[in-house]
Amino acid sequence: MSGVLWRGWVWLVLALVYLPILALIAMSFNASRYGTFPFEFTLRWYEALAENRRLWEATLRSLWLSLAVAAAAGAIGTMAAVWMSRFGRGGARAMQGLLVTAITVPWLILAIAILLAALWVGVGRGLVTLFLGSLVVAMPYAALVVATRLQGLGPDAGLAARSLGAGPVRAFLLVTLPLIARAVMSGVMLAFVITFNNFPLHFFLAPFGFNTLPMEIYSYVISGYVPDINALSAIILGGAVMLGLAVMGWRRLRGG
Amino acid sequence: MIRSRTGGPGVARALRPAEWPRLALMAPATALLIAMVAVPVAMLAWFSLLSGPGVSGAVTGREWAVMLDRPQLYGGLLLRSLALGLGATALCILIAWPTAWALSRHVAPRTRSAILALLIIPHLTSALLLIYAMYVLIAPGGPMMTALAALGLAESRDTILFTRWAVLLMLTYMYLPFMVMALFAAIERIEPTVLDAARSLGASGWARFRHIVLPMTLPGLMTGLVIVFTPAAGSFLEARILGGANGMMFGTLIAEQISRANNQPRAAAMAITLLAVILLLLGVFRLLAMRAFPGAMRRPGAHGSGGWGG
Repeated sequence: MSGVLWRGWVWLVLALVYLPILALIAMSFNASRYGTFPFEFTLRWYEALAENRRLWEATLRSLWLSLAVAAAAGAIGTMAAVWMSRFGRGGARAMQGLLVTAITVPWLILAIAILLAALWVGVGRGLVTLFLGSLVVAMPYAALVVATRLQGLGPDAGLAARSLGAGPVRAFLLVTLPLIARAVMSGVMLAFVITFNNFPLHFFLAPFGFNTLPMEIYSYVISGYVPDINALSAIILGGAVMLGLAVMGWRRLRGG
Repeated sequence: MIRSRTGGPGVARALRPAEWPRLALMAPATALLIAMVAVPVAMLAWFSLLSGPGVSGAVTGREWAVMLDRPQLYGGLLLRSLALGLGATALCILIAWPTAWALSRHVAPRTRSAILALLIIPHLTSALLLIYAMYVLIAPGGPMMTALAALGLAESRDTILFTRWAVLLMLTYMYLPFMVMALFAAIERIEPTVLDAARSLGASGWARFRHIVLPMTLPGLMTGLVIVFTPAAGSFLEARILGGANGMMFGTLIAEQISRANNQPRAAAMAITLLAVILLLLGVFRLLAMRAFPGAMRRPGAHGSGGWGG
């Protein structure tokens, strides 16, 4: 088959992936309260969104939770990855098995398991449960990203530093850490994104009254079409794509 | 490539710091994984035997009896969830394979990374937003139905919203980019010279696919199966928002045991059932793949093949 057809297929798939997103963004400028036609331009839903305190408060809550979890996941995940690359033989395989298992269990099932265990312990829903649950979901991603980088790096640089007299902590902080810094950063960002969006976990583990952004969106969307949420989704989805494009453009400029 | 260990293993051993607090490095991660994943998931089995509400009732096994008593409801719903998960996985593979192949072989590297990024970025934002976007798109009187009506293909009030087809569509949409990633990584590893060699020896297009491309992308396909089928079969949100009564999934019913029925033991029993069936199916697929292509699943240099420790 010729290359044109193959390329055409790729662009078709990309267009289909963006079809619902573009429809959503377009409808966020439509005056109809029920998302129907004819199309009539308005910015009313963005104004309504700006005045929606509930959504802004939920966004702040989600931000704090995700930042705390991402920082902890980055630290614990990096430690586990370093351990796997340095000392583990069989232990590293076992650790990797645990990490992959934690990723594989569907979030709904994991959330219910954690909730019931927390109830059994006597804690139940709460910030601690939510934090630890989010952490155990996000941390494996950070650990695996850093572990992959460490594996590619090999032990030479760290060993060189050690042979020149640096202590293990010093060698790690001054030599290894700068070399894996980008992987750690990617791991932290991944942990942030995963925590921010983990609706099943929030839904079952967050204390009552502590509604995260996904929970707020859910409470609107479950009752059908809500144009304010269109405006919010347009901002988030559009922002994410723009940010991604900007990062790519920046890398390209820098990389030449 | 100056990665050869110039000092040899002797240096590594001499420098391996006995004083390094090894346990302190792995302790937090291990404790977390055991306390928050291994123990709770294992305890589901215990909780499922209790009588509700709550998790401190007597051991009666009542919920299992209730579930076994109504096989049409629970069994039927479980089968539908698995069918939806498998259907979405199959559709993802059918769409993602040519996409990954085209990206790897027919698109310039620069454009390729841009397209891969564009594919994945929306899916890194909230799943809820994507589900809502699909809702807006296919809603009665919404953009898609209006367009179809304008073309005379459907009434603008007809829609697949609130049916199982909407759930199937959504699950496919949700996981397609991840399947593209998994297959792309596998296809990238196939040396073009291998295919050229096969061609020069007279292998037809189908033979090259069947004997080279398929076995060599099998590990990626299995990865894709795990990252698509597992969450798709275990999902509840897609069905809750887009499925309506007719598109309910097993996961939706599990969630309602907690959020509405306040029946924790039944939620536990259902959750274990779902997890066990998903893992069983993944095992069966793995076995089938290994049976069909002996040796294809062993892949050097990838995760889990002993590269750790340097």
